[in-house]
Amino acid sequence: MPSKVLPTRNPDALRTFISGSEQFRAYLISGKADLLNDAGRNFTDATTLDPNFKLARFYRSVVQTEMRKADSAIQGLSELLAEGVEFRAEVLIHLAYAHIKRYTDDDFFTAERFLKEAREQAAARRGTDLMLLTDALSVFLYSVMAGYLSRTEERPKYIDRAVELGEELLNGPLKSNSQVEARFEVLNGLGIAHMRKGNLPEQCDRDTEWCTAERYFHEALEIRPSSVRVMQNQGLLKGMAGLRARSETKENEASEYFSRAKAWFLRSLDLNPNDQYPHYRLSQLFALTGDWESAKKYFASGRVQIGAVKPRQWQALEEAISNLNASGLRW
Amino acid sequence: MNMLTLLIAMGFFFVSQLQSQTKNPGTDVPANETKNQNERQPFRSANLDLARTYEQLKKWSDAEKYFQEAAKEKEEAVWREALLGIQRVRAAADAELQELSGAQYYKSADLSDKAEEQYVAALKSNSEAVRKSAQRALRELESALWFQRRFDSFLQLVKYLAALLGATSLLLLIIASVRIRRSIELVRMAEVGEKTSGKVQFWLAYVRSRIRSLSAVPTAQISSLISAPILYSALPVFRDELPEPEGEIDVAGTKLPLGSLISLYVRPRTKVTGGLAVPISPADGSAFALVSRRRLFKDGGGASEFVHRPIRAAHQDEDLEAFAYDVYVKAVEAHAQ
Repeated sequence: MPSKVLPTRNPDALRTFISGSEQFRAYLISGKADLLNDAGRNFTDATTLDPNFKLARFYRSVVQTEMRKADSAIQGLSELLAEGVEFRAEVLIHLAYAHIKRYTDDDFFTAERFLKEAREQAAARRGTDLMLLTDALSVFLYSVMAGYLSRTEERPKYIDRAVELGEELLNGPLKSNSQVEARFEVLNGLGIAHMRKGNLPEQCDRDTEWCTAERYFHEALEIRPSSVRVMQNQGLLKGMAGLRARSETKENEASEYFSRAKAWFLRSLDLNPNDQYPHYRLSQLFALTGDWESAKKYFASGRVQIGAVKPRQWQALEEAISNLNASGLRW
Repeated sequence: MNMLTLLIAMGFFFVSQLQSQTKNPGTDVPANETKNQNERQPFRSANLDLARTYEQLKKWSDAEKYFQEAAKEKEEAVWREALLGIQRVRAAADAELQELSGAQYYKSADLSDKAEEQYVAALKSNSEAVRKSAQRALRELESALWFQRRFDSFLQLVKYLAALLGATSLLLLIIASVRIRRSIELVRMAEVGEKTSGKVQFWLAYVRSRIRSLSAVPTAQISSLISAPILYSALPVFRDELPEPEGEIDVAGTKLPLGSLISLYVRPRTKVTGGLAVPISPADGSAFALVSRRRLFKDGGGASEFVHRPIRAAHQDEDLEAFAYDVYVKAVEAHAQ
């Protein structure tokens, strides 16, 4: 049996790393962005004190993904892979997650490849938990592809993949609530997939799909009540429903949905204001409801944050605000 | 010549008469001998014949009954022969009953196993009455022996369990020894100075619990802290986290002081000693620790690490925390060598 050794020989690096781990864990439970910032700072300090402290470098990259700094995270995780680490499967999973967060076709397919490799690594280690997490993240990946893939004609295929894999996991290995992390990811992914399915132009049973999506989001929030990802997905779903109601000239219903969407995004913003996405969506929502001052305010606050909102989306929003005309906005 | 023949015949007659009286009657009397006697009898008696037949069949009570009938007859030779017959069959019946009486003696003396042996032997008896008595007695004895046998089985089981427990205790002791050997011993550090009591111990315990706490996987984020157990498992066991081995181990009823021997002679592989000295304020103090490796049964031997940190008066807690991290890093490093 190999002797146990600490991951660093530098006591100050170890001390800083442990502080960072505690703050990161507190962030994961509470969702508060300031804790994430503190954790990131401590992990960076630990890696500065001991550049060979691979575990600290791994956590630094994980925090960077959470901070929407996907490029830095991918660079750090790729370096770890190249150097060789004993927790290779975990690195691959987070590398895949960071690629998903870039929302481009190439990144989606790269993420899919990394997840496949992570699953093989986990199987070689007989890590059943890791294999489940890999599958769960695949559900999330397919659900994101169902909304962001540039080849729109392929999107329904990924909706079906996400639903099929997600329901297989929920009815099989995730039937019991023991694997809460993986279960949360699957529920969130299934919610997104049904939301996208309900938004397909040819969809006849839109309400059923959106009710199913809402049910999955609700279950995911029961596991992690402070998850800003699920809150934002709930806001997205309500926004979709509002636009649909408006297109059917049900203005009262639309305004009710828009109010609920705003509430979800504001709730997520309270926890983490450092991501441009909720600012962008709130600005859109206020533009859609004719509150141009608020739309400007959230446009301005969102522009100074980091995130994955595309420049052309910002441009379209800016044009809508300057023309006081939201008819060209796409949800 | 005729006279001589008559004398020899008479001599044989008296010798055979004497033999029949001195020999154990019944089972030892061959049937052809009885037949020869009958042939020599000048008088016939149906009762006597029946009695002899039952005697040959070893049905002593029937034989005795007919001998008694014959004894009432007028012919002297018949009733004399019948009286002799009564004596013979009673003696034979008594001999068989001896087996049962032996068994009854053992039974009354609470030697149930011996009694059982005797009854089983009596089952082979030629006498049906004896066999029946033996069977009846055996049935009674078996029911009396049932509880005793169960109790004996229970006692046997208890013995096996005791032996098993002894072996398990021994095994646990060996495992405990190996675990003690693989642990790190943090000897209570000496503290000199104002308001220093227990401070080093506190910070050492605090830092260890912080490192250990990373093992708790949060229910929050996908795989984010999966690698935390890597750090957790990197921290070896400390001697104070292990229970003291039992002082005495009971092996098959014998108490062996193995636990005490282990406490005395099995030492953790790594030992940490040290101290904290804080002069009267406002001067700064210092903390030091010596990490040494030990051989199996005695101190000294392996490489040593030395930790030294100045403890600033204004930042005492901060410096002591850093010192504690330093101690763990060096101790784990030395331990792994």
